[in-house]
Amino acid sequence: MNLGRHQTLLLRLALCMALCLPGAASAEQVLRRGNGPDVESLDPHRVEGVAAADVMRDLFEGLVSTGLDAEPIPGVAERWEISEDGLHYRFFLRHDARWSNGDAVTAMDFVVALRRSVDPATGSNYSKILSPIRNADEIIEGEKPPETLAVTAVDAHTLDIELTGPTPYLLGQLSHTSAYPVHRPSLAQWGADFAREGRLVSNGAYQLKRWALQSHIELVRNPHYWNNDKTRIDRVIFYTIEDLNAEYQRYRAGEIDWTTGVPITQLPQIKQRMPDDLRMHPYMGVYYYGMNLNRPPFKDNPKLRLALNMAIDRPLIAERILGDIDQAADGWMPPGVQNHHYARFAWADWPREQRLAKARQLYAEAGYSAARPARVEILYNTSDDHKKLATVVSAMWKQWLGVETVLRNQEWKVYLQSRRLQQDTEVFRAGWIGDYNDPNTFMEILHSQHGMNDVGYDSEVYDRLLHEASQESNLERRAWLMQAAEAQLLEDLPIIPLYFYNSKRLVRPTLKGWRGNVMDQHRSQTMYFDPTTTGGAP
Amino acid sequence: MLRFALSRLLSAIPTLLVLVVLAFFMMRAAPGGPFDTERTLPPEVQAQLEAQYRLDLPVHEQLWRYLADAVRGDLGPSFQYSQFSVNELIAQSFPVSLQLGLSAMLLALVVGVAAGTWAALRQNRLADHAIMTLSMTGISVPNFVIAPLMVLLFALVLGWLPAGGWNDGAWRNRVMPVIALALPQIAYVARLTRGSMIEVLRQNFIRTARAKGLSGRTVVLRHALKPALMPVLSYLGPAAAGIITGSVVIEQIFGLPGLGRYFVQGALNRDYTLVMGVVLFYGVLIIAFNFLVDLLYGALDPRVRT
Amino acid sequence: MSRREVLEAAAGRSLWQDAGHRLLRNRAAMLAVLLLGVIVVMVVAGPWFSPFAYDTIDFDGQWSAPPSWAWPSPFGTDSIGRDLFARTLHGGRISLMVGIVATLVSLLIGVTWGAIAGYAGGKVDALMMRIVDILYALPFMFLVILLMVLFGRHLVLIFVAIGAINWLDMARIVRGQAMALKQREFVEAAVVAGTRPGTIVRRHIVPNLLGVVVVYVTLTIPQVILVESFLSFLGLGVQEPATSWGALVNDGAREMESSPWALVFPAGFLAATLFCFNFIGDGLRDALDPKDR
Repeated sequence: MNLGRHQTLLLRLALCMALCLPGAASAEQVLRRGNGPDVESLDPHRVEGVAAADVMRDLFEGLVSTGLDAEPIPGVAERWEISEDGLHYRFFLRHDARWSNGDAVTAMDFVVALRRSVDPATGSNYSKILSPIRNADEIIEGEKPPETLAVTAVDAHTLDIELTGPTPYLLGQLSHTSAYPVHRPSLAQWGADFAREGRLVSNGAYQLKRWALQSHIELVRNPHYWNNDKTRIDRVIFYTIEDLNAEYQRYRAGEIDWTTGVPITQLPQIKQRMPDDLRMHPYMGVYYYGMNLNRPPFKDNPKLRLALNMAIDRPLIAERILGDIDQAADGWMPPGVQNHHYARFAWADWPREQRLAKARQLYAEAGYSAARPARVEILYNTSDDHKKLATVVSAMWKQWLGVETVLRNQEWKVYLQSRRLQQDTEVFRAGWIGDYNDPNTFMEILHSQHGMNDVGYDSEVYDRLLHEASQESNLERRAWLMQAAEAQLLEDLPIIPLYFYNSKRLVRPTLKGWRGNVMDQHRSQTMYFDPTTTGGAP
Repeated sequence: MLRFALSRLLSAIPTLLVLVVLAFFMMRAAPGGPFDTERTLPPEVQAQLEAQYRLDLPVHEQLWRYLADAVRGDLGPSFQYSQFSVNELIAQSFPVSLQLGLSAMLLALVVGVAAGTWAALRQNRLADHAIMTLSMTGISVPNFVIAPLMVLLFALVLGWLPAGGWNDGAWRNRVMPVIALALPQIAYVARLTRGSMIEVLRQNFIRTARAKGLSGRTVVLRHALKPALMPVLSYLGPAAAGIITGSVVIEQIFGLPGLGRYFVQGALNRDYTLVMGVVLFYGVLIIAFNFLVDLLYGALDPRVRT
Repeated sequence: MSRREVLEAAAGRSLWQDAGHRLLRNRAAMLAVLLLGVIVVMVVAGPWFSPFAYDTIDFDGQWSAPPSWAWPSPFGTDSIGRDLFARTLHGGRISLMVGIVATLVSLLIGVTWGAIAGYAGGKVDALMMRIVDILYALPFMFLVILLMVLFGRHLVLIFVAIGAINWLDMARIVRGQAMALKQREFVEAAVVAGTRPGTIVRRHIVPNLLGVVVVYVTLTIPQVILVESFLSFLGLGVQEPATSWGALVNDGAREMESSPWALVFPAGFLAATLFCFNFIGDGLRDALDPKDR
């Protein structure tokens, strides 16, 4: 058959339309996700890190799930009731929830899972997520047995949870991996090693097919999932690709459909060549420098702390180093946090010269001069991006204030230990991404008793405000208490907030059902490919 | 012969012992522990984890038990991959490294020897200078520059090969890593071959062969090649070491699930058992390889029988 | 080996003169010497002529500025607005220093170790070489990463770490030579005259190893520079704002598409230097050991 050029084209077009027609037997949809660092565990109560959590969201479903804006939506529980005082929750589980082997998902699965999650013997890194539940903290501390956790199965499809105090963000917590159910027969058969290829039974939209360490994880449809009819993507492959540059190359070569990030140096090129692929959204996190308040030069030296804060040109950093995507920090709390009223730096919008004049004045008042400069060391963990930022910040301090700066780079574990010991650190780089959408996740880490308070901040006022907020069941009053706490923090300044994160990814324009959100959480089951979409091809 | 093998085997034991003990104490002396994460672990959880991994025992007890297990071939559970044993991790990743390494070694030998021989035959002529300059480039430009350049050219501009990943070992995914890994070794082998070939070609038995009227090709292939390869053979040991080191970079750049990557990550994450396991495994490997090279050397050159 | 020894014994001092002549006639090697000289002068003296410091950021100027012919920024700027010319020269200082110092460290350990083992022979030799074998089986990467992790990342440590690994080869080579030298008449004469072993090693063995050592040194320096760049790739190189060619090349490789000059200039200097050392090393070897060509 000798078809003309146009005829071939027409044929192809017709074929394509037939394939793409909704409802018609369409081709298998495969989503290939770049997934950053290697996933080290698929046990919901042992997983760590964003990469693993992304896989888990496709594999499992908690009582509560998350919607396109990361808001809590019904998951295994189709509805719930909350008592007046906010201390008692009753969840009604859907009757058609099934494990990937066909077993029913019952309230008992959640009881066993939540107990296991807080049991110190499990070794969970995130057990504290469940600490609003009554007795959870005591169990985590080893003072009470796991069976005392205030989670009870009323019947196979009704679950009661009792809390210690009102917790407006509890539903969000229950969508966390720590609150995912476990398949009890698998746990009984395999013990802690149940989460392996060929063994793992999950209750989400997908099930594990292949787990090639350091390479990829392949998931296929869970035919027993209650919402399987609405799931469009048939297979999801998560590729381990640590380096952002490598990931970018593989995206361009058409090997993956989305990336975990974007190499900043390539941004101009990306904005020009594939503007439709670039997806950005504020991400609930803050990048900051901590100052060790336990030793000189920062101990009892608020003027130096303020001077260093003011001498950083954050808009310049945001524009030049962060590719004009992340937002210059003007306070502690990143944008998009619910139940919060923001406090902000008064001088955030001052022009550079005005800020520098004030910073120099404070620097001089703190007793420093060209003859007697402050000596400051910046500690950061090994990474090109941290290095770049630290280099620029130190040059700003050096060139604009006359501070003698030294950079010190340590690899992750060493850096963590230095930070924690609070002995020889001066300024150290840090970042915090909210565990859940509430101001508490950002405020509590600077509480004098909190394990992550590596700056040694110890303010009675601040601690008291946080305590009052935790007892407050009126959301509006709680938000004002949180604001007062943030204002206090910005006054005392144990930290140098630099910028608020933005999630930035490349996503194929043909992929629909994808929406940016402040938690940067995405579930493959909401998505599908629409090949009729044009544009944005690499 | 048997005695030689046996004595080598026996002398490997103290080597490996030193290796393990050194690795053990270095890991433990390094600041930061395996369970350090950004958020502090509740003390009870930390204690339970330490008990699971025997970190609550006195140090000498830990070492002793590790050695006892290692002798039985059990390298213990990984800290980082909590559901996998170190044996499993090595079993999964070593084949990748081995295939890469062997292919690269083979490529380096074939191309290097051919190029070196050719250069020697064309000594001080254009081909010689071209080959030697090229091979010098192979030595002088770091791997981590050449590899991304290759990706740029073959994956993005030409679209012939994938930009990265292992894809369960599909050949298209192997091409670039193998070449990138082999390049510096090709250069060394070519230089070595050229040098020794020139020397051999001057020797009397070659002159005799030539005088007998044998063709140039026969002389080179039949008579000159074997003695000329001796220095190349003794270079195999260092080459293997170079390929192991190089594979760390290459595995990182191309995102391959090999042993080198586990090693670097294990060291950074303080995965005590994984690092010790990999070190021990590499130690055994290097010793075995050197032994093999010695055997080969002995087989080819009767003068070095020990 | 024997023919060369006879030659050497007969020629005595004039061997070195001969070698000098042969080296001078080697055009590639002489060109390399010349080029290396230019690079060294640039690296040592250049920073005094560049109007920019290697660590100063031009906050109001263009970042990632392409190179321009207009002095004083012939190489452009890096991604955070620092002058690349100043940084390339500064990086050269560090790279060359690492190369030379680390080689000297390995030389010191290697020659001492090898000379003693080779001269002493017997059980001492067996034990010392056994230690070298053990260290050979230690994966090199592991040692360096752990050293960096244990003691932080000081420049001195990089010297020591690289030097401490490279001495193994040196020790083996020197031992072989020393064993051969031991049989020679002048050493035997010294022994008969009752000279102490330490003195013999110092006065007779080591000086006669000079030829091997010189070749080894010129070939080791480029290797060490390369190892340093490899460490930079793993994020274990020198500490910012200081830099080395390896670190610059590594940074440049990450943005080779958007600002190729950040890769081309440092990589050019690095490759040219390694080229030169290798050519000189080859030239020296040929000059000192004439039967090779």
